[in-house]
Amino acid sequence: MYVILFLFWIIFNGNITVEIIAFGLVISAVILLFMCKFLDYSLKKELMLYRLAPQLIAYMFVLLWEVVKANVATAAIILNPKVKSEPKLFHFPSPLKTTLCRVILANSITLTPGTITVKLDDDGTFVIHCLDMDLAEGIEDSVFVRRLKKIEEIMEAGR
Amino acid sequence: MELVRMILAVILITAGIIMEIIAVFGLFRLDYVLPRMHAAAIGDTGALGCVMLGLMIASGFNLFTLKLLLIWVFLWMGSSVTSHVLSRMIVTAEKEEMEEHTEVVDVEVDKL
Repeated sequence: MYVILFLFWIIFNGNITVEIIAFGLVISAVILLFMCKFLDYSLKKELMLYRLAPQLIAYMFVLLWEVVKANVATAAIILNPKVKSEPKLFHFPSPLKTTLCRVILANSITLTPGTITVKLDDDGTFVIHCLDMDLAEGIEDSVFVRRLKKIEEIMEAGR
Repeated sequence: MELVRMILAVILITAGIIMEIIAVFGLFRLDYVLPRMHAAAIGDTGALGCVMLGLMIASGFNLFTLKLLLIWVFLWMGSSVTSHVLSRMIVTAEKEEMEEHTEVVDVEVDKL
């Protein structure tokens, strides 16, 4: 998070000089301190984030690819005049345990066109609305779920 | 090199515009709010992604490119949250109308 805050400072400044870098390092540290004190954040979570960083970056690229594939599939349904789409509301249980991973999965599902998360229950059940059943096939065991399970294992091991 | 970059950028931005046209076409073709939201999601994700990628390639590698990347990330985050809120609102508030247009597979709509 410290690295992200520092990068934000640099990006919003627009150029890189010694002063800006020095101020940025101090201000990022102050904001990190504020987060630890008031926003339920801690140095332990910070270290965990760095350990998860490679997995999370890989997850972003997987998400990008899935969004591209879903875009093509949804556009095909819209443009094909013969297909009458059958919208469905259904639910599936997820094996994820931490709220962080559940929220990431819910947002990923909503971001891919063709599927929207309507509700996320406390026990990890997702209620999904999909444009057509083809788009939501195998959602219980998708790439997202498999990747997030791996992330959860790393979180478990680091505790 | 400059020419190749510009051609790539123009191709990506054109692809984005075409996707936005598909999204608008879908908005009129589909018949109910929830399916229409899926069509709008194409405009939110694919079209925006293509246009932003095109602009990033056109501007070259500098800090302005990173600002464009930030716009992209924030719009994607906002788009997923708003579609979730809107869909939940419709499913809970317009129950009868929703059940006419959607096939509900063992979900207890009252409890949502």
